[in-house]
Amino acid sequence: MTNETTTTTETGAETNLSTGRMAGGGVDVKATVAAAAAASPKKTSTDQVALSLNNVGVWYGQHEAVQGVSFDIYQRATTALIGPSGCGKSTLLRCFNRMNDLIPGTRVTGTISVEGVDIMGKDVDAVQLRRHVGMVFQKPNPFPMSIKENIAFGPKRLGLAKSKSQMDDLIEESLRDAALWDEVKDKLDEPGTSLSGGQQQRLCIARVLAVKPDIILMDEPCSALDPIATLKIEDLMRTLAKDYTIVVVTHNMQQAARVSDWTAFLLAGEERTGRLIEYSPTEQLFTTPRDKRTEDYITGRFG
Amino acid sequence: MSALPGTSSSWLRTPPEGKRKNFYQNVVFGLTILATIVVLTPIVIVAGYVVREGLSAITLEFLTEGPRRDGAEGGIWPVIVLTGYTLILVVVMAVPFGVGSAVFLSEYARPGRLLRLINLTIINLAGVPSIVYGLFGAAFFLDILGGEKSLWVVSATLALQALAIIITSARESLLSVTRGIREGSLALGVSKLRTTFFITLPQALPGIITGVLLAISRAAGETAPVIVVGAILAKNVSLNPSAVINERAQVLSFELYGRITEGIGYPEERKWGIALVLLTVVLIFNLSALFLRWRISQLGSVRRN
Amino acid sequence: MAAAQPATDEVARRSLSESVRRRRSGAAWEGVVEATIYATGLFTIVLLVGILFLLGQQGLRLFFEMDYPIGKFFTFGNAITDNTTDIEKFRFGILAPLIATMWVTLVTLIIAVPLGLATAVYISELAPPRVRLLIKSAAELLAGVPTVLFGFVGLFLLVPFVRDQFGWGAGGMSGMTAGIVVAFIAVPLIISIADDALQAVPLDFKENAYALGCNKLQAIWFVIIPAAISGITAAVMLGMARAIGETMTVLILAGGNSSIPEAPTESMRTMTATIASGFGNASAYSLLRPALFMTGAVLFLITLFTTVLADLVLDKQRKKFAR
Ligand SMILES: Nc1ncnc2c1ncn2[C@@H]1O[C@H](COP(=O)(O)OP(=O)(O)OP(=O)(O)O)[C@@H](O)[C@H]1O
Ligand SMILES: [Mg+2]
Repeated sequence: MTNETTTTTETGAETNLSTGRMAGGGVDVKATVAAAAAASPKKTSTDQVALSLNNVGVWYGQHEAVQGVSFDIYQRATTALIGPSGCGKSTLLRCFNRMNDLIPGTRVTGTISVEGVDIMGKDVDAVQLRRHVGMVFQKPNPFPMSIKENIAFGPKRLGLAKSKSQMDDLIEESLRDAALWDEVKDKLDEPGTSLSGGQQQRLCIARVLAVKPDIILMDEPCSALDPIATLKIEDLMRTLAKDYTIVVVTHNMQQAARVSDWTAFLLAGEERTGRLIEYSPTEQLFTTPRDKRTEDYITGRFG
Repeated sequence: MSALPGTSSSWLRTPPEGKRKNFYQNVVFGLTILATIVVLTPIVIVAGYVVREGLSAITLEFLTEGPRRDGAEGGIWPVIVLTGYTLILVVVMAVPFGVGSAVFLSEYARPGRLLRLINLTIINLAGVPSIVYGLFGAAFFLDILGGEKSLWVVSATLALQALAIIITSARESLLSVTRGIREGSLALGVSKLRTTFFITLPQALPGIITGVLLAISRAAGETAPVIVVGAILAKNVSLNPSAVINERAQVLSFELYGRITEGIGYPEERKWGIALVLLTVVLIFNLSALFLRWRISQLGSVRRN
Repeated sequence: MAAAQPATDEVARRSLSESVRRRRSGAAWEGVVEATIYATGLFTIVLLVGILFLLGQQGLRLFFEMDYPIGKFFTFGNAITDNTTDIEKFRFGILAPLIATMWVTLVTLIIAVPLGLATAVYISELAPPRVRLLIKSAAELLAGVPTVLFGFVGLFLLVPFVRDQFGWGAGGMSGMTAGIVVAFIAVPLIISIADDALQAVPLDFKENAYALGCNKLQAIWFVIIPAAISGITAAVMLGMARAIGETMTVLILAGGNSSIPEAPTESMRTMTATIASGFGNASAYSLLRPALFMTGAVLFLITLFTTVLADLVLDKQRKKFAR
């Protein structure tokens, strides 16, 4: 673990040096990709599919927010969803754990399958699904309880720990895995809200890890954080990607380049309906995009 | 909050024509302060007068013994006990239904035209005159259900009004719980019901309790509906809890009203004594609610930092 | 050490697609609780909405079962609360109580609106935060004092004064006397709603006004109050509904004359006071009972209409500044 942490920190530093922080500069992104690729060889293909999207569409009442999206998300890889604001990234992401069920008037068409089972199906329990497909939100949302209780909340409600010692182990393990343990181990009883923004976000990640999900969804997890906190979360994402399937929505193209193995680019037209424009290994998408619109977007020539 | 940019320094360099402006301004502001003082004096007058006139009536006998000679002597113990029963019954009836309905409205009911209509109705039912609840209580519990004019009918009638208050305030506190933490819990695979019980309700609890306290305070002071459904003046009756069904209601507010209007020869001082007891009961609940609300706002500002 | 054991092999992976299809343990039990919540909500809604129908139904018996002429109910100039079953002898019309209510409400508003709005301006725009909190709390206490106490204290302090100085009504008891006291009952509500409305005006509105060289008074008068006008209107309307529905003070202080009052200084009996004073001796088969229910239904409709309208106005204000 110590070894891993060092490596990732170095990678973080290196990527930081080699890139400007502004999103949208095509050259910078290419440099980032190159740097990231050099630092840690990425998985560009794998035979195991975690989620398979087939012709997915989402309606909010009369408004079609996403249309005809099909692609495969690979297991234990990081997939980034990028695209201009309002193109339906969050909407699509929230389909993967059926958070959209909670918004009245939302309708999802097509199929999203795990091992051939459509998670939109009537026989799938949305609550059970969410336990296996965790989610980290844009704004850190720790519960109004102590740090410890924040982590323990999920396992307790789901009955995952049999004893107090087991729970304590689980809390420590989750906080360690979220790279937060060293910072909070002496103040586990303080309110989660007393932490800094970046720490809160890692607390939220630890909270998700505590229920042992298979897939972790992140919706712009760093957009409310400062650059240092952002780097920490990115390091964490790279570490977690070894064991989890991660899907991340981001506006920051350097971030997509740094952390993801695959990238999906979505775009909405006049009618504000998002479509998948291109889905490729990240390196390829940023260096040799197949679609003109992708090229325009990543070079910043686009809304 | 009044320290807005520009105001303090503009005092330094006032042009001649601005002097008159400032004069008007000071006059108007002086008037607003005067209005504030006028608005607040009745509290001092009412509380001061009630305490001054009533304190001498408050003896151990007055508070702990039953009435003698039609209430002209002895105490108001039965009224105090039965008021307690009435309020307890109000809480027992109104809180579960009130909080349950608020949870239904804020967490389960699908937004739409119907829900909006229901919300509008319920919010405004809290503003319906209390005597209308009295009429409803009489029509429903007495005329339709054919109940006797016993204590529980008074409680049930007061509970209806309390229900409207509790639903409104509980719904508001539930809605003020941020979507973020609900989603955080739901995204862990915790069911909606458990999220409601373990995240949303605990967060909303202080606000809900505040509403309940205010509703109790209101029920304790409410007189008009009690007049309509019927109560009696202080009388020695069996005070075990079965009185709720077997006895007619005796409540402080009605006792006061009855003594004011019908109590020829009823000692003046004792009326003020009743008023003082009533004011004390109401203020205890009211002040606790205010204190709790103040605590919530304190916690809120800490949390935001 | 390894990050929480995720699905690492074929077996575990198969369990993902399996486990999302399994029903959670305890789901049935949760279903029962949720059904209870639904039932509670629907029951309460039916009950509360039922008030309107029940009052209407009980009131309309007067016309349809007991054949009391509708025209007489709405135009007869007196409201005598005789407990009788004889249509000829029953002389009850809603006009007099309605006019009495209007007089009391008018007096209330004339006093309460300026006081309430001025206080709202003071606490919202001028007072330091501590003073603001203190006054808001005091106003809430004022709102919490049982109105029977206002009536009682008014009877001892205000009535003798009015009798000796002005000689209004019946020994000092008049619509005016009651209206003065009701004003202090309605004023906390006006303050609270108007203060909310003033507070809801975005800070940059105010700052813009100052940036244009307005002084504080001008900013309040030309910028803040116009921006909050719908909320202020709602505050006045809710204060009005409160005055219309107030019972105990008018019962004790307004004098109780059941005929049509021609001036606010006369002794009079409002709708609420008519119900409260008459209901006690209205026996089940008398004409009086449905007549009072009918009066209650009218009272209910007037106040409900006023508050719903105020609510819609408030909603408009909320939408204006929603961002
Ligand atoms: N709850 C909702 N109800 C109705 N329409 C919605 C809702 N949420 C999103 N939309 C609409 O769906 C479209 C896609 O929104 P979405 O939030 O998925 O975009 P996004 O790509 O995540 O944007 P951003 O980058 O700004 O977060 C937008 O047109 C938006 O207006
Ligand atoms: Mg989004």
